[in-house]
Amino acid sequence: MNYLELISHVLPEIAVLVTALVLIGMGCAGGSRGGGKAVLAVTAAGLGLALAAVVFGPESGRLLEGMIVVDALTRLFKAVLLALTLGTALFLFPGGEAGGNEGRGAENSALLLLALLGLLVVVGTENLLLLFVGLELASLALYLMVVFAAPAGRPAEAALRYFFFGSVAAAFLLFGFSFIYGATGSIDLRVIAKVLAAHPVEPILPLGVGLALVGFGFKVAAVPFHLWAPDVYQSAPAPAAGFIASASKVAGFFIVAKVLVLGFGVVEGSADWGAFAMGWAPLVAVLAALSMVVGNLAALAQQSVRRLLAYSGIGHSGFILTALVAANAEAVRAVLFYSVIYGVASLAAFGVAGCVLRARGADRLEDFAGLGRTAPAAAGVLALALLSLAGLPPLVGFFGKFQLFAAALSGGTPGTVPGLLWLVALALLMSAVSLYYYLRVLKQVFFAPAPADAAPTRDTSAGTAVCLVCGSVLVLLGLFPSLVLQPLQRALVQLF
Amino acid sequence: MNLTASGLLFFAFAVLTLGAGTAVALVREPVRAALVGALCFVGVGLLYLWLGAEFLGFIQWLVYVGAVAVLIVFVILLTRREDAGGETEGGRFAGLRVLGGLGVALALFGALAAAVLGSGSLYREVPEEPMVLEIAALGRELVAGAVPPLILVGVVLTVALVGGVTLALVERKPDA
Repeated sequence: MNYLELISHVLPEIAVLVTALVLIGMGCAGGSRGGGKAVLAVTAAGLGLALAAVVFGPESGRLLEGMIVVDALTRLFKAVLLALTLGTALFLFPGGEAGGNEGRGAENSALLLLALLGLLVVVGTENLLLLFVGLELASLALYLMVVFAAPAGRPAEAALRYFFFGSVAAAFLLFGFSFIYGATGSIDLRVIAKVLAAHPVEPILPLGVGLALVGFGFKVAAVPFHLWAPDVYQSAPAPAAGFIASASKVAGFFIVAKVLVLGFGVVEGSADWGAFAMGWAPLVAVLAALSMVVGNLAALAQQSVRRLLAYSGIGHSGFILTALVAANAEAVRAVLFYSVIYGVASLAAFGVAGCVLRARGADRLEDFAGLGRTAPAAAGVLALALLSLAGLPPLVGFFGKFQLFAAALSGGTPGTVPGLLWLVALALLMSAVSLYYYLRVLKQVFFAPAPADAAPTRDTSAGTAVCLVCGSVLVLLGLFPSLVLQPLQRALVQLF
Repeated sequence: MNLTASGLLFFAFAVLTLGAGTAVALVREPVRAALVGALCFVGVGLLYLWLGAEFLGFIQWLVYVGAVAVLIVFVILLTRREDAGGETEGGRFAGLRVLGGLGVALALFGALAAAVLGSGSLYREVPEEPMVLEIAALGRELVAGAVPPLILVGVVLTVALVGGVTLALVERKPDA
């Protein structure tokens, strides 16, 4: 290994880091009056460069015992993360999230990029140490994004809650990793898998995996580690919330799937009905069931749309974890595919919610009344995003959910009742529940008359552009899911 | 079990560490809690030395007692508010909360203890000759094998610095 080879494999990360440093410099130089357009231009240019580095960079490589891994799968997900971040960055700007945020555009963008850098590192590694440091980098930047742009009071409280929960979760993760290292003598996922296949499992290993699952559960907001999510989604500035709900969650599911399936496939156990076997599968099944029930039922009672989206996100974590329990190639494909489309739909929904919040000063259900007339583009995209989250055909959400549940049922011996039927039945039931609260929002948007005294929400240029792109992605992928599925399939062949 | 001098030392260090750790949670004044916390770090360093891990022990003192504890004291002094510590957390569920916390802590401790005691590979024979730790080897490892995490930790610290500075600026001018 020489440094040049190393650098050539992490060019996207370097591009993002350098852009973030330039932005910090701009923030210092421009004082509190940084030009929004210039910041946006630098951010977009940096992300474009990083994307080019992903596309034209080396196609495969594994350096320093799995610390830096480049293959089709990591490249695909780095590209997805970069695209989602670009969408988030556009929301930050012109006429974007302004409330109390003026003049800190440069710092905000820098933090966004540093959070992205953490996620890129996490996606591109098979090493537990680097994975932890990358997660910490992303988390730290996100805490700051939540606390920034806070007028006073509530958001600071949300940030503090996020910080405390996050710190405890990080401690659990690291504690778990240390036990895994103690039991296997390695922090390289592939070596861990080999050791586990060759030696009997000792009690210290399940303990380590269990503790790590607590940390991961926090990252993807699975019940009972979800308590930070509603407050953060509701109080954080819309771009930060959008990023946490999209890019951060995509990366979260990516590493959960990779760590569990790649490193600990041997100690999966079984969550099949009547055939429980100890391993991580029963634990994940419990997390999935709790998340689906608590998330979807709590969403029914919400008045704030962003809070509703938060609970719906918790429910979706449950749906995604349901497929992960099956832990075969098909399941991993479904998990990754759904996490991507969930990210796109969330970004669009949070974008529209941010527009309404800006115009009306609140995001209760009533504030969305009449949106269909005053801002047809935003309303249309919101409808697409919510219906996709609900899983109605022909939107991509239907296809994604179908894949998730089919993958969960695919395990087990053919000809018998699938062992995970209980979990999938619960998922279908909760999916029906979710349709109700999504329709409650859409009823306000399209059928309730706008209050006469309220300022109407208008379509804005940049925000609408991102929303429209997200909306068209949802429709296009619904009609042609193979656009993402085929590259994903090809990439996964290398993994299994 | 007959106690040797070395065993007595271990118990002294353990009592110091655990006692200081408990005091951190119980002391009401934040500055005192930070200072007792530093004492706890000293105890952990002593335990490392007792185990023969000199390098780890000295690093523990340098980094935690020397830097982290001082940092914590600084933060407490900088963010001092007039109304700090005014309202007590309590109310009807105080007892329930304490019980719940104790329950979770005991369950976790039980799981940890059972797992560690049940794992046979942790009682491997340790080679007789003392392990020689070359500081130069550590340095080489840091600039060769561990370059990515090392650089990334630097980035993490940068984020913390930027965030700290920006938040401090806001505190300075609340009207802005």
